[in-house]
Amino acid sequence: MTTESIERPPAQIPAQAGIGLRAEHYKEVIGSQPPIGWLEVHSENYFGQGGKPLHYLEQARQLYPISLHGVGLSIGSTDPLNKAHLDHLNRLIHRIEPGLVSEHLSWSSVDGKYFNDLLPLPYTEEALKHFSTRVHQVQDILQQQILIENPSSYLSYSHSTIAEWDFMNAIVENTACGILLDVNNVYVSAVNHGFDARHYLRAITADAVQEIHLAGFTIDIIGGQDILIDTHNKPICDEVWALYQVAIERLGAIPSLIEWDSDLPPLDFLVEEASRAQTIMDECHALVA
Amino acid sequence: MPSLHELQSAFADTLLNPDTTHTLSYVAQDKISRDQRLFIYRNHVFSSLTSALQGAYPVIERLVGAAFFRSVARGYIRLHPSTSGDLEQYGDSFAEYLSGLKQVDEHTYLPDVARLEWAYHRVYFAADVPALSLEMLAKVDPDQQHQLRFGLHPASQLLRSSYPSLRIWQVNQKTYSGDQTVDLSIGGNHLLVLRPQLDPQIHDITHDEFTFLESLACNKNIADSLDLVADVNPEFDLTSCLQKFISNKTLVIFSLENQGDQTRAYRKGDRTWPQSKRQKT
Amino acid sequence: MKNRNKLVSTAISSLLALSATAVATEAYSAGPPLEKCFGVVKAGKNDCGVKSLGTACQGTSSKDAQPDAYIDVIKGNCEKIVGGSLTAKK
Repeated sequence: MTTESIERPPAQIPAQAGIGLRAEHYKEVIGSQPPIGWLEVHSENYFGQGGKPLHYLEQARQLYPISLHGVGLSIGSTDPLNKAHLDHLNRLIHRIEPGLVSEHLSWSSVDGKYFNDLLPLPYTEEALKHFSTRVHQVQDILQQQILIENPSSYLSYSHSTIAEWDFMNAIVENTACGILLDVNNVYVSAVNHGFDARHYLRAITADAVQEIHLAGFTIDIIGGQDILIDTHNKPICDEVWALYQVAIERLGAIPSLIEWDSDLPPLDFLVEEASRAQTIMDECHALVA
Repeated sequence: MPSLHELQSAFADTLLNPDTTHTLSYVAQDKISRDQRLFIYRNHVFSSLTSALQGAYPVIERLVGAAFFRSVARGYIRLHPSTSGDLEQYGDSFAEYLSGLKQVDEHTYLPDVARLEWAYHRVYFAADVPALSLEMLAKVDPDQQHQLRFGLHPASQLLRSSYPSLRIWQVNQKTYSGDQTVDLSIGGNHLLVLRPQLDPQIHDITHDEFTFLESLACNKNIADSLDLVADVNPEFDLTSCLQKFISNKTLVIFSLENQGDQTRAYRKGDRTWPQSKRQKT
Repeated sequence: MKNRNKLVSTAISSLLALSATAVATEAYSAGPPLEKCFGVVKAGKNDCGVKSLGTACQGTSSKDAQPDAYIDVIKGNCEKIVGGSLTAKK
């Protein structure tokens, strides 16, 4: 163990509400230490070798357990796994000792070009086999379990043969990875593709879910139709809070993240959203007890 | 039915080239059309790569205006797509791209300002290292001192410009409130972008200091580097030069000619500092 | 050759002598840098939010990559950079 880690809180992410730590809030979070259970950051923002990002992240780690959420590993790509990217991630894992490490059910690069976006996979047997092999490889290299998050998506493929929730469950079965269940993404995709969000929540393998994401979306009107865009710049909507309640009733208390990426509100607002999630977890727990 | 790789390649083509002939007939059309669905992804890809360029090149954006910047960014993204899953890496060849644009012909200082911004961007994320150990330096045999090689801080960049690029950079900072006029006839500058602690600094250094540091950065020993400068300027004050650049953490390591491994270890790679030993937990 | 080696030795000796008091600590400063940006924290660029079309420029057709129309715009914005020979360097 390094000297720093002795002063750190345990790595494990508690079954409580947490918030995303963004650069705009570094000083305030470290200075005021808001009453939240844990923090999450986007791994790639800490791939540099030094300077402010790592400086503040290490300070935050002295105060909170931290989860590393990746957006750029491109697990679903047919290109070879990017070893340099994994090296950066591995180094960051050793430096920060995160409680959870997660990535997405998506691809973001092909033929060496990156699109830095979570692009949708076809849900076919071929893609399932490919994605499972890659999750295996990543877990082998990182020497730890990772969580896979369901993406929000804006298109589907006519040759897909597997429902997304079954695809997620099959990956868990094949690789023993965990699930990061983004309830907002379930809702966004349900509206965009016309499936039943509640069915998704009932169908997902309960034991595998180790983290939940909550966020806000924007409604774009395209071709006269409402399309939900997962913008992470708005409060969580009532429908998503209702789905969250359904998920918590089924899954019990699960580490739950308030995710906000652009047009950041004051820190207090994020803390309030987190406390709302916490209240839902506490009330469900009280009912069960 | 396309293979996964065929699908990804065709999808990628339509993202970067809206005029592509791929039809992607396997993208489902229901509520809205195939093209409308693809457009959502294309919009996001261009928006986030443009935002990465805006983050690295805020002064260029301010100089050319938001609309022109977006337009230039679009052209750049098509020609030089991202090659990393980390957006902070995106935009390294933007200065070269700018210098090839005919709209920039009348504003030839723009690529130099872009180079300064990229240097600043890289330095912001570069490794942290401790100051040079003077105790260790004191142990070097005086007869060998002329063979010393000094290594620059990994968070340092040397830049030469024929334009007053620092002045242009300064007056276009958000926090700057004075006169924004810059007279190009004041001439060029030699710059050292450096991050001794957490905040990047830009130093306007002399031609001699620049030549000396550049020579050290090319792994030449101190005596040869001194020659380069002293031949032209016999008045060059080596003591104060060393004092300045050791104390501000430009020069952070040294080695002797015949034991230069440590110095070379990070200079030969892309300025990557040797990894500190960390225990796995 | 001898002379320059001696110059180096002299410089390093003076440096070490001076540093006994000053340079050894990082507190020593060789004067303020010309530009220092205290407190600027760059926002992380990697995130997983998606941009809505709300403010998107309609154009993502290839014409947009040929920004001839903007020559006047750039002139307007850069008019405060004056003097010298703007086209001297190529």
